[in-house]
Amino acid sequence: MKVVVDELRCDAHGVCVAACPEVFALDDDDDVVRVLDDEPDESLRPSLQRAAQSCPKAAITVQG
Amino acid sequence: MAWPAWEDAAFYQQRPEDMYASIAAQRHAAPLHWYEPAGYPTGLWVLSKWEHQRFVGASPELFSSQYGFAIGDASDPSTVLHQLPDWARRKITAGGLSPAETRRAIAHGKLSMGDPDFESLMISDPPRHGQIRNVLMTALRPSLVRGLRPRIAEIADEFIGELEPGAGVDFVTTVGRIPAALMTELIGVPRDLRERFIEMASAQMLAITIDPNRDPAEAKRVQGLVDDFHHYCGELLAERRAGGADGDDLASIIARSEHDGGPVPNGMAISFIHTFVNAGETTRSLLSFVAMALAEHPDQRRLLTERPELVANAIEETLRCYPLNWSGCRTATRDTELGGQQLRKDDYVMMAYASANRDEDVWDRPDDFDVTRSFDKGHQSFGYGEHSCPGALLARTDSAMIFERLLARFPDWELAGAPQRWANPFLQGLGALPLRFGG
Repeated sequence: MKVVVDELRCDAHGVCVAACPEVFALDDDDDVVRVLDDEPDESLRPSLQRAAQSCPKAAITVQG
Repeated sequence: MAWPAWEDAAFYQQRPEDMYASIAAQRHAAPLHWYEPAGYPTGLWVLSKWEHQRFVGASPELFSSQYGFAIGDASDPSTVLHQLPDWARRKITAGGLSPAETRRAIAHGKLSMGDPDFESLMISDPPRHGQIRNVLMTALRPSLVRGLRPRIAEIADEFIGELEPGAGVDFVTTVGRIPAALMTELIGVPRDLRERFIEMASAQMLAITIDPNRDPAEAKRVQGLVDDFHHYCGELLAERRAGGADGDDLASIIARSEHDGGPVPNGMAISFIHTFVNAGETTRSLLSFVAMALAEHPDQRRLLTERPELVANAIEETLRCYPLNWSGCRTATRDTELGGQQLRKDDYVMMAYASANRDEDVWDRPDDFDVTRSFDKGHQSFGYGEHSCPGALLARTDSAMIFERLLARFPDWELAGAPQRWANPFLQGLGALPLRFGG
């Protein structure tokens, strides 16, 4: 399973951080969300899918 | 139960319970409905389900924004010609345009502020849309917006400090003015010009709704304000360019930004400034609906004073229940199947946000106002995907800050009269909200 964030689309709303803090992080001085782990453990799939679904810019893709 | 007359202002002005019952009836019986509004030259698809709207929002290659963004763009051109500049009128009356091209000419004419070369965010597609949006987003970048929190708190305290406890006050013209004040600062307008600037900027919206044949004196007054606004914006940008433009205000950012390898065209610059001003107005409406909902649901307000961390969620719930923008439109770029219906190339598609926000497949008890609700699946009120609202983070940040400060100062408020809601087929807001603050 691979996580891809379209950095041109990301507006750093941080909704994904709330849904899946194991994979996404955002500090006050970030303009694009940071991916902490782009090949996360399978156990994170539900919260990752929630993160992808809740992104207001549709900028997150979960592959595999 | 009569189904919604989506193109008719009266539909949005009825009692909200009745309006939502009609919307729900259509969503249940015909989630993708081919609708032919009276007097419109062609019909359009009404998408009522959250899931279908998400798909459209995430697929700009299948659903273009170039051929209209509002339901009114599909109306009979002869009914909107008076709102358009000469070049757009000529283009339409010369004939030979397809329905999609006619919608584009109407939308472009309305947005252009008279400039035929004007490129609008609203009616562009990727990759062009992203190039234009990036200039605007430089002034709205998340780190900058988050860094504004202390300044927002200061401005909020200034306005909240003027509220008199126990007396009836109009929320819309008191606390409701905070976003416009903040926006003028973010644009870079000096404080002593704040009120004059807001007056000039709001004339732009008035200008496209006044029929010069019916009210020539008012049309002339408003046109004067629009001209003053353009003149002032031009001066502000020239001043920034001359002064090195190293500030973080919108005028400086535009002055030092590039577009297509040259300076940002004047029409685009003015439209960005105008976008900020309009965002101040829609945020005013958002704040007013939050204050109204919390006056009407004292149990929910008490919950927020006990658990201030829920304030941001209360803003989302208000956006869900009281969308400021009723809908958004796209045009199919090719034949596509969606939800069991066959959409044809060039078909106009309307996403009814007000319906998706109450879709039973997404929301439990959709008609209840509940500040503890989960927003794992977001509401549609800021749109979704490529064209979602560039100012959403700023609106969320300043609304949450303002209500945290307000609830800390006044844990209690109640209606001191009937709220005056206004609505047209595109937007809604509150003209007046009489409140009494206590506690």
